[in-house]
Amino acid sequence: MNKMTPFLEGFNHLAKSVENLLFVTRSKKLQKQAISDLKKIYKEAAKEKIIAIKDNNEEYANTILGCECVISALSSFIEMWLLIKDDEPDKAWDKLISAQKFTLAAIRASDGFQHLKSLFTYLRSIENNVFPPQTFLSSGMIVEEQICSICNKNYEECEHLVNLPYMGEFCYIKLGKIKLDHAAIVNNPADKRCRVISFDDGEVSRNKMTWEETPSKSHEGEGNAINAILLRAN
Amino acid sequence: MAIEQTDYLNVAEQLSTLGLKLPRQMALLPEHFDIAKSLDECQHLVEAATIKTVLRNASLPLDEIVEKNRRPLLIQNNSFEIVLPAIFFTYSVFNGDLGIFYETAQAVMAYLTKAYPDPAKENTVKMSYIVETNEQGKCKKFSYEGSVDGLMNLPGILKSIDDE
Repeated sequence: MNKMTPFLEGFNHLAKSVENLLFVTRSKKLQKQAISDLKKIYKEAAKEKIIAIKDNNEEYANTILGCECVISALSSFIEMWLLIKDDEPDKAWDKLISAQKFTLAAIRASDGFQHLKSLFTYLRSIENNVFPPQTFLSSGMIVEEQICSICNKNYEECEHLVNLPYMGEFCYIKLGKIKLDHAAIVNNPADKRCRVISFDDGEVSRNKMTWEETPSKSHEGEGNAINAILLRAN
Repeated sequence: MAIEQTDYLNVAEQLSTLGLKLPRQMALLPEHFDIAKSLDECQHLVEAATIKTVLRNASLPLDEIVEKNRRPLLIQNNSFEIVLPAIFFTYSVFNGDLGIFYETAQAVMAYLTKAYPDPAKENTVKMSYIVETNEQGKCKKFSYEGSVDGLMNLPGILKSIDDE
Protein backbone atom coordinates (compact mmCIF):
# COMPACT_ATOMS: atom_id res chain seq x y z
CA MET A 1 0.00 0.00 0.00
CA ASN A 2 1.47 3.36 -1.01
CA LYS A 3 1.90 6.15 1.51
CA MET A 4 0.15 9.44 0.74
CA THR A 5 2.87 11.55 -0.86
CA PRO A 6 2.69 15.31 -1.57
CA PHE A 7 2.21 14.46 -5.24
CA LEU A 8 -0.73 12.13 -4.52
CA GLU A 9 -2.29 14.73 -2.23
CA GLY A 10 -2.08 17.35 -4.99
CA PHE A 11 -3.42 14.86 -7.53
CA ASN A 12 -6.39 13.89 -5.35
CA HIS A 13 -7.20 17.54 -4.68
CA LEU A 14 -7.16 18.45 -8.38
CA ALA A 15 -9.10 15.33 -9.44
CA LYS A 16 -11.79 16.19 -6.87
CA SER A 17 -12.14 19.77 -8.11
CA VAL A 18 -12.17 18.70 -11.78
CA GLU A 19 -15.00 16.21 -11.09
CA ASN A 20 -17.24 19.22 -10.58
CA LEU A 21 -16.60 20.33 -14.16
CA LEU A 22 -17.52 17.07 -15.89
CA PHE A 23 -20.93 18.39 -16.95
CA VAL A 24 -21.92 19.86 -20.30
CA THR A 25 -23.40 22.98 -18.68
CA ARG A 26 -20.18 24.10 -16.99
CA SER A 27 -18.47 27.18 -18.41
CA LYS A 28 -16.00 26.68 -21.24
CA LYS A 29 -13.60 29.04 -19.49
CA LEU A 30 -13.49 26.91 -16.33
CA GLN A 31 -13.27 23.70 -18.32
CA LYS A 32 -10.33 25.02 -20.36
CA GLN A 33 -8.60 26.08 -17.15
CA ALA A 34 -9.12 22.57 -15.77
CA ILE A 35 -7.48 21.05 -18.87
CA SER A 36 -4.54 23.40 -18.40
CA ASP A 37 -4.23 22.37 -14.72
CA LEU A 38 -4.39 18.69 -15.70
CA LYS A 39 -1.58 19.19 -18.23
CA LYS A 40 0.59 20.73 -15.51
CA ILE A 41 0.03 17.89 -13.07
CA TYR A 42 0.67 15.36 -15.84
CA LYS A 43 4.20 16.78 -16.13
CA GLU A 44 4.61 16.49 -12.36
CA ALA A 45 3.44 12.88 -12.55
CA ALA A 46 6.10 12.10 -15.14
CA LYS A 47 8.80 13.47 -12.81
CA GLU A 48 7.36 11.59 -9.83
CA LYS A 49 7.40 8.37 -11.82
CA ILE A 50 11.06 8.78 -12.73
CA ILE A 51 11.88 9.03 -9.01
CA ALA A 52 9.78 5.93 -8.24
CA ILE A 53 11.60 4.01 -10.97
CA LYS A 54 15.00 5.15 -9.65
CA ASP A 55 13.91 3.94 -6.20
CA ASN A 56 12.89 0.61 -7.77
CA ASN A 57 9.44 1.17 -6.24
CA GLU A 58 7.23 -0.65 -8.76
CA GLU A 59 4.03 -0.34 -6.74
CA TYR A 60 4.36 3.44 -6.57
CA ALA A 61 5.46 3.71 -10.22
CA ASN A 62 2.29 1.81 -11.21
CA THR A 63 0.19 4.07 -8.99
CA ILE A 64 1.64 7.10 -10.79
CA LEU A 65 0.91 5.38 -14.10
CA GLY A 66 -2.69 5.11 -12.90
CA CYS A 67 -2.67 8.82 -12.01
CA GLU A 68 -1.43 9.63 -15.53
CA CYS A 69 -4.31 7.59 -16.96
CA VAL A 70 -6.85 9.37 -14.73
CA ILE A 71 -5.46 12.75 -15.77
CA SER A 72 -5.78 11.77 -19.45
CA ALA A 73 -9.28 10.39 -18.87
CA LEU A 74 -10.52 13.55 -17.14
CA SER A 75 -8.88 15.75 -19.74
CA SER A 76 -10.46 13.78 -22.61
CA PHE A 77 -13.83 13.86 -20.83
CA ILE A 78 -13.82 17.67 -20.56
CA GLU A 79 -12.48 18.06 -24.11
CA MET A 80 -15.43 15.94 -25.28
CA TRP A 81 -17.92 18.45 -23.84
CA LEU A 82 -15.96 21.41 -25.25
CA LEU A 83 -15.98 19.84 -28.72
CA ILE A 84 -19.71 19.16 -28.51
CA LYS A 85 -20.26 22.77 -27.56
CA ASP A 86 -18.08 23.77 -30.54
CA ASP A 87 -20.25 21.66 -32.89
CA GLU A 88 -17.49 19.08 -33.49
CA PRO A 89 -19.25 15.78 -32.66
CA ASP A 90 -16.88 13.51 -34.63
CA LYS A 91 -13.88 14.80 -32.67
CA ALA A 92 -15.95 14.70 -29.46
CA TRP A 93 -16.67 11.01 -30.04
CA ASP A 94 -12.94 10.28 -30.26
CA LYS A 95 -12.41 12.07 -26.94
CA LEU A 96 -15.21 10.08 -25.32
CA ILE A 97 -13.62 6.82 -26.44
CA SER A 98 -10.22 8.04 -25.23
CA ALA A 99 -11.75 8.89 -21.83
CA GLN A 100 -13.17 5.35 -21.63
CA LYS A 101 -9.85 3.76 -22.63
CA PHE A 102 -7.84 5.78 -20.13
CA THR A 103 -10.34 4.97 -17.38
CA LEU A 104 -9.96 1.24 -18.04
CA ALA A 105 -6.19 1.70 -18.20
CA ALA A 106 -6.18 3.34 -14.75
CA ILE A 107 -8.13 0.37 -13.37
CA ARG A 108 -5.48 -1.95 -14.86
CA ALA A 109 -2.60 0.11 -13.52
CA SER A 110 -3.21 -0.36 -9.83
CA ASP A 111 -5.75 -1.81 -7.40
CA GLY A 112 -6.15 1.69 -5.95
CA PHE A 113 -8.20 2.77 -8.99
CA GLN A 114 -10.93 0.13 -8.87
CA HIS A 115 -13.47 2.81 -7.84
CA LEU A 116 -13.21 4.20 -11.38
CA LYS A 117 -15.52 1.46 -12.59
CA SER A 118 -18.41 3.85 -11.87
CA LEU A 119 -16.76 6.57 -14.01
CA PHE A 120 -16.51 4.07 -16.86
CA THR A 121 -20.19 3.18 -16.51
CA TYR A 122 -21.04 6.90 -16.59
CA LEU A 123 -18.95 7.38 -19.75
CA ARG A 124 -20.71 4.40 -21.30
CA SER A 125 -24.09 5.97 -20.50
CA ILE A 126 -22.96 9.16 -22.27
CA GLU A 127 -21.99 7.05 -25.28
CA ASN A 128 -25.45 5.50 -25.35
CA ASN A 129 -27.53 8.58 -24.55
CA VAL A 130 -25.68 11.61 -25.94
CA PHE A 131 -24.40 10.17 -29.21
CA PRO A 132 -26.42 8.40 -31.92
CA PRO A 133 -25.78 4.67 -32.56
CA GLN A 134 -22.63 4.05 -34.58
CA THR A 135 -21.47 1.35 -36.99
CA PHE A 136 -18.15 -0.13 -35.88
CA LEU A 137 -15.42 -1.82 -37.85
CA SER A 138 -12.89 -4.42 -36.93
CA SER A 139 -9.86 -5.45 -38.93
CA GLY A 140 -7.93 -8.69 -39.01
CA MET A 141 -4.22 -8.57 -39.75
CA ILE A 142 -1.50 -11.06 -40.55
CA VAL A 143 1.45 -10.33 -38.28
CA GLU A 144 4.99 -11.54 -38.86
CA GLU A 145 6.62 -10.38 -35.67
CA GLN A 146 5.60 -9.46 -32.10
CA ILE A 147 8.04 -7.52 -29.94
CA CYS A 148 7.48 -6.86 -26.23
CA SER A 149 7.43 -3.14 -25.40
CA ILE A 150 8.95 -3.77 -21.97
CA CYS A 151 12.03 -5.85 -22.80
CA ASN A 152 12.18 -5.53 -26.63
CA LYS A 153 12.47 -9.29 -26.94
CA ASN A 154 10.24 -11.61 -28.95
CA TYR A 155 6.92 -11.29 -27.10
CA GLU A 156 6.37 -15.03 -27.20
CA GLU A 157 9.59 -15.71 -25.34
CA CYS A 158 9.50 -13.14 -22.54
CA GLU A 159 7.54 -13.22 -19.30
CA HIS A 160 5.65 -9.94 -19.75
CA LEU A 161 1.93 -9.88 -20.45
CA VAL A 162 0.13 -7.41 -22.65
CA ASN A 163 -2.02 -4.79 -20.85
CA LEU A 164 -0.38 -5.35 -17.45
CA PRO A 165 1.78 -2.67 -15.77
CA TYR A 166 5.51 -3.12 -15.21
CA MET A 167 7.42 -0.43 -13.33
CA GLY A 168 5.11 2.36 -14.45
CA GLU A 169 4.56 1.25 -18.05
CA PHE A 170 1.97 -0.98 -19.66
CA CYS A 171 3.20 -3.88 -21.70
CA TYR A 172 2.03 -3.71 -25.30
CA ILE A 173 3.03 -5.58 -28.43
CA LYS A 174 4.99 -3.83 -31.13
CA LEU A 175 3.94 -5.44 -34.39
CA GLY A 176 6.53 -5.97 -37.09
CA LYS A 177 5.42 -6.35 -40.72
CA ILE A 178 1.63 -6.41 -40.77
CA LYS A 179 -0.71 -7.08 -43.67
CA LEU A 180 -4.44 -6.39 -43.68
CA ASP A 181 -6.31 -9.68 -43.95
CA HIS A 182 -9.95 -8.69 -43.64
CA ALA A 183 -12.37 -6.09 -42.30
CA ALA A 184 -15.77 -6.63 -40.74
CA ILE A 185 -18.67 -4.72 -39.23
CA VAL A 186 -18.95 -5.71 -35.55
CA ASN A 187 -20.96 -4.69 -32.50
CA ASN A 188 -18.06 -4.61 -30.07
CA PRO A 189 -14.78 -3.55 -31.69
CA ALA A 190 -11.48 -3.23 -29.87
CA ASP A 191 -11.42 0.46 -30.78
CA LYS A 192 -14.70 2.33 -31.13
CA ARG A 193 -12.91 5.10 -32.99
CA CYS A 194 -12.90 2.65 -35.91
CA ARG A 195 -16.31 3.35 -37.35
CA VAL A 196 -18.30 4.50 -40.36
CA ILE A 197 -18.01 8.30 -40.59
CA SER A 198 -20.41 8.82 -43.49
CA PHE A 199 -22.35 6.71 -45.93
CA ASP A 200 -23.97 7.24 -49.31
CA ASP A 201 -27.64 6.52 -49.80
CA GLY A 202 -27.26 6.77 -53.57
CA GLU A 203 -28.09 10.46 -53.78
CA VAL A 204 -26.17 12.11 -50.95
CA SER A 205 -23.43 11.29 -48.49
CA ARG A 206 -24.66 11.56 -44.92
CA ASN A 207 -22.54 12.03 -41.79
CA LYS A 208 -23.39 9.34 -39.17
CA MET A 209 -22.92 11.81 -36.33
CA THR A 210 -24.44 15.09 -37.57
CA TRP A 211 -26.82 13.66 -40.21
CA GLU A 212 -25.66 16.50 -42.48
CA GLU A 213 -25.61 15.90 -46.23
CA THR A 214 -22.72 16.36 -48.64
CA PRO A 215 -22.63 15.42 -52.37
CA SER A 216 -22.55 11.66 -53.06
CA LYS A 217 -19.15 10.12 -53.77
CA SER A 218 -20.54 6.91 -55.25
CA HIS A 219 -19.86 6.09 -58.89
CA GLU A 220 -22.48 4.45 -61.06
CA GLY A 221 -22.32 0.65 -60.98
CA GLU A 222 -19.94 0.55 -58.03
CA GLY A 223 -22.43 0.43 -55.16
CA ASN A 224 -22.75 3.00 -52.40
CA ALA A 225 -19.57 4.44 -50.93
CA ILE A 226 -18.82 4.70 -47.22
CA ASN A 227 -16.18 6.78 -45.54
CA ALA A 228 -14.77 4.88 -42.57
CA ILE A 229 -11.83 4.61 -40.20
CA LEU A 230 -10.46 1.06 -40.11
CA LEU A 231 -7.30 1.40 -38.00
CA ARG A 232 -6.16 3.96 -35.46
CA ALA A 233 -2.78 4.40 -33.86
CA ASN A 234 -3.05 4.70 -30.08
CA MET B 1 -22.62 -18.77 -20.97
CA ALA B 2 -22.58 -21.95 -23.04
CA ILE B 3 -20.32 -24.95 -23.28
CA GLU B 4 -20.63 -27.04 -26.40
CA GLN B 5 -19.28 -30.58 -26.43
CA THR B 6 -18.37 -32.21 -29.76
CA ASP B 7 -16.26 -35.11 -30.98
CA TYR B 8 -12.88 -34.02 -32.33
CA LEU B 9 -10.41 -35.66 -34.65
CA ASN B 10 -7.53 -37.80 -33.34
CA VAL B 11 -5.05 -35.08 -32.41
CA ALA B 12 -2.02 -37.40 -32.23
CA GLU B 13 -2.63 -38.58 -35.79
CA GLN B 14 -3.18 -35.04 -37.08
CA LEU B 15 -0.01 -33.86 -35.34
CA SER B 16 1.86 -36.63 -37.12
CA THR B 17 0.27 -35.70 -40.48
CA LEU B 18 1.38 -32.09 -40.05
CA GLY B 19 4.86 -33.12 -38.88
CA LEU B 20 4.36 -31.69 -35.39
CA LYS B 21 5.49 -32.93 -32.01
CA LEU B 22 3.16 -34.76 -29.63
CA PRO B 23 3.05 -32.92 -26.31
CA ARG B 24 3.59 -34.80 -23.06
CA GLN B 25 0.67 -33.12 -21.28
CA MET B 26 -0.71 -30.01 -22.90
CA ALA B 27 -0.17 -27.67 -25.85
CA LEU B 28 -1.87 -24.87 -27.75
CA LEU B 29 -3.27 -25.87 -31.12
CA PRO B 30 -3.12 -23.46 -34.07
CA GLU B 31 -6.22 -22.24 -35.91
CA HIS B 32 -7.50 -24.56 -38.67
CA PHE B 33 -5.60 -27.43 -37.06
CA ASP B 34 -8.47 -29.87 -37.62
CA ILE B 35 -8.86 -29.16 -41.34
CA ALA B 36 -5.28 -28.37 -42.36
CA LYS B 37 -3.50 -30.66 -44.80
CA SER B 38 -0.16 -29.03 -44.00
CA LEU B 39 1.19 -26.61 -41.42
CA ASP B 40 1.08 -23.82 -44.03
CA GLU B 41 -2.71 -23.89 -43.75
CA CYS B 42 -2.58 -23.16 -40.01
CA GLN B 43 -2.43 -19.79 -38.29
CA HIS B 44 -1.75 -18.83 -34.71
CA LEU B 45 -3.96 -16.26 -33.04
CA VAL B 46 -1.87 -13.36 -31.75
CA GLU B 47 -3.32 -14.18 -28.32
CA ALA B 48 -1.50 -17.53 -28.37
CA ALA B 49 1.76 -15.91 -27.28
CA THR B 50 0.01 -14.29 -24.31
CA ILE B 51 -1.69 -17.51 -23.23
CA LYS B 52 1.62 -19.38 -23.50
CA THR B 53 3.19 -16.88 -21.12
CA VAL B 54 0.20 -16.98 -18.75
CA LEU B 55 0.46 -20.79 -18.53
CA ARG B 56 4.26 -20.76 -18.29
CA ASN B 57 4.13 -18.16 -15.49
CA ALA B 58 1.65 -20.42 -13.68
CA SER B 59 4.15 -23.32 -13.99
CA LEU B 60 1.74 -25.39 -16.08
CA PRO B 61 3.34 -28.15 -18.22
CA LEU B 62 2.85 -26.53 -21.63
CA ASP B 63 4.80 -28.05 -24.52
CA GLU B 64 5.61 -26.57 -27.94
CA ILE B 65 4.35 -28.66 -30.83
CA VAL B 66 5.83 -26.50 -33.59
CA GLU B 67 9.56 -25.96 -33.98
CA LYS B 68 10.59 -22.33 -33.75
CA ASN B 69 11.59 -22.02 -37.41
CA ARG B 70 8.27 -23.49 -38.60
CA ARG B 71 5.86 -21.25 -36.66
CA PRO B 72 2.66 -20.49 -38.60
CA LEU B 73 1.61 -16.93 -39.42
CA LEU B 74 -0.01 -14.90 -36.69
CA ILE B 75 -3.46 -13.43 -37.12
CA GLN B 76 -4.71 -10.49 -35.09
CA ASN B 77 -8.43 -9.74 -34.88
CA ASN B 78 -9.20 -6.26 -33.58
CA SER B 79 -12.55 -7.14 -32.08
CA PHE B 80 -13.33 -6.89 -28.40
CA GLU B 81 -14.39 -10.50 -28.30
CA ILE B 82 -11.51 -12.32 -26.64
CA VAL B 83 -10.81 -15.40 -28.75
CA LEU B 84 -8.19 -17.67 -27.24
CA PRO B 85 -6.38 -20.60 -28.86
CA ALA B 86 -7.62 -24.12 -28.23
CA ILE B 87 -5.73 -25.97 -25.52
CA PHE B 88 -5.08 -29.67 -26.06
CA PHE B 89 -4.67 -32.02 -23.09
CA THR B 90 -3.27 -35.50 -23.56
CA TYR B 91 -4.79 -38.66 -22.08
CA SER B 92 -2.14 -38.61 -19.36
CA VAL B 93 -3.71 -35.43 -17.97
CA PHE B 94 -7.28 -36.71 -18.35
CA ASN B 95 -6.32 -39.97 -16.69
CA GLY B 96 -4.16 -38.37 -14.04
CA ASP B 97 -4.03 -34.84 -12.76
CA LEU B 98 -7.45 -33.27 -13.42
CA GLY B 99 -6.27 -30.30 -11.36
CA ILE B 100 -4.41 -29.09 -14.45
CA PHE B 101 -7.75 -28.37 -16.14
CA TYR B 102 -8.74 -26.11 -13.25
CA GLU B 103 -5.33 -24.46 -12.87
CA THR B 104 -5.33 -23.63 -16.58
CA ALA B 105 -8.75 -21.98 -16.48
CA GLN B 106 -7.85 -20.23 -13.22
CA ALA B 107 -4.61 -18.79 -14.66
CA VAL B 108 -6.35 -17.58 -17.84
CA MET B 109 -9.27 -16.09 -15.88
CA ALA B 110 -6.96 -14.29 -13.44
CA TYR B 111 -5.02 -12.74 -16.31
CA LEU B 112 -8.11 -11.68 -18.29
CA THR B 113 -9.70 -10.12 -15.19
CA LYS B 114 -6.62 -7.95 -14.64
CA ALA B 115 -5.81 -7.17 -18.26
CA TYR B 116 -9.35 -6.57 -19.54
CA PRO B 117 -11.39 -4.95 -16.76
CA ASP B 118 -15.03 -4.99 -17.74
CA PRO B 119 -17.18 -2.70 -15.58
CA ALA B 120 -20.02 -2.76 -18.13
CA LYS B 121 -19.98 -6.59 -18.23
CA GLU B 122 -19.73 -6.60 -22.02
CA ASN B 123 -16.67 -8.74 -22.73
CA THR B 124 -17.09 -12.24 -24.04
CA VAL B 125 -14.39 -14.84 -24.20
CA LYS B 126 -14.14 -17.94 -26.37
CA MET B 127 -11.88 -20.77 -25.24
CA SER B 128 -11.77 -24.48 -26.00
CA TYR B 129 -10.33 -27.50 -24.28
CA ILE B 130 -9.57 -30.44 -26.53
CA VAL B 131 -9.18 -33.52 -24.41
CA GLU B 132 -7.82 -36.94 -25.34
CA THR B 133 -10.23 -39.22 -23.51
CA ASN B 134 -8.68 -42.64 -24.13
CA GLU B 135 -5.37 -44.26 -24.96
CA GLN B 136 -6.43 -44.80 -28.58
CA GLY B 137 -6.46 -41.03 -29.11
CA LYS B 138 -10.21 -40.37 -29.09
CA CYS B 139 -10.71 -36.65 -28.47
CA LYS B 140 -13.55 -34.40 -27.40
CA LYS B 141 -13.77 -30.64 -27.78
CA PHE B 142 -15.35 -28.46 -25.09
CA SER B 143 -16.00 -24.95 -26.36
CA TYR B 144 -16.81 -22.18 -23.92
CA GLU B 145 -18.32 -18.84 -24.88
CA GLY B 146 -19.40 -16.35 -22.24
CA SER B 147 -18.17 -13.99 -19.59
CA VAL B 148 -14.66 -14.17 -18.18
CA ASP B 149 -16.12 -15.03 -14.77
CA GLY B 150 -17.75 -18.15 -16.20
CA LEU B 151 -14.50 -19.65 -17.50
CA MET B 152 -14.25 -21.97 -14.50
CA ASN B 153 -17.31 -23.82 -15.79
CA LEU B 154 -15.12 -25.22 -18.56
CA PRO B 155 -13.03 -27.55 -16.38
CA GLY B 156 -16.15 -28.19 -14.30
CA ILE B 157 -17.89 -29.95 -17.16
CA LEU B 158 -14.95 -32.35 -17.57
CA LYS B 159 -15.72 -33.84 -14.20
CA SER B 160 -19.03 -35.14 -15.54
CA ILE B 161 -17.18 -36.84 -18.41
CA ASP B 162 -14.86 -38.44 -15.89
CA ASP B 163 -17.88 -39.75 -14.01
CA GLU B 164 -19.53 -41.31 -17.09
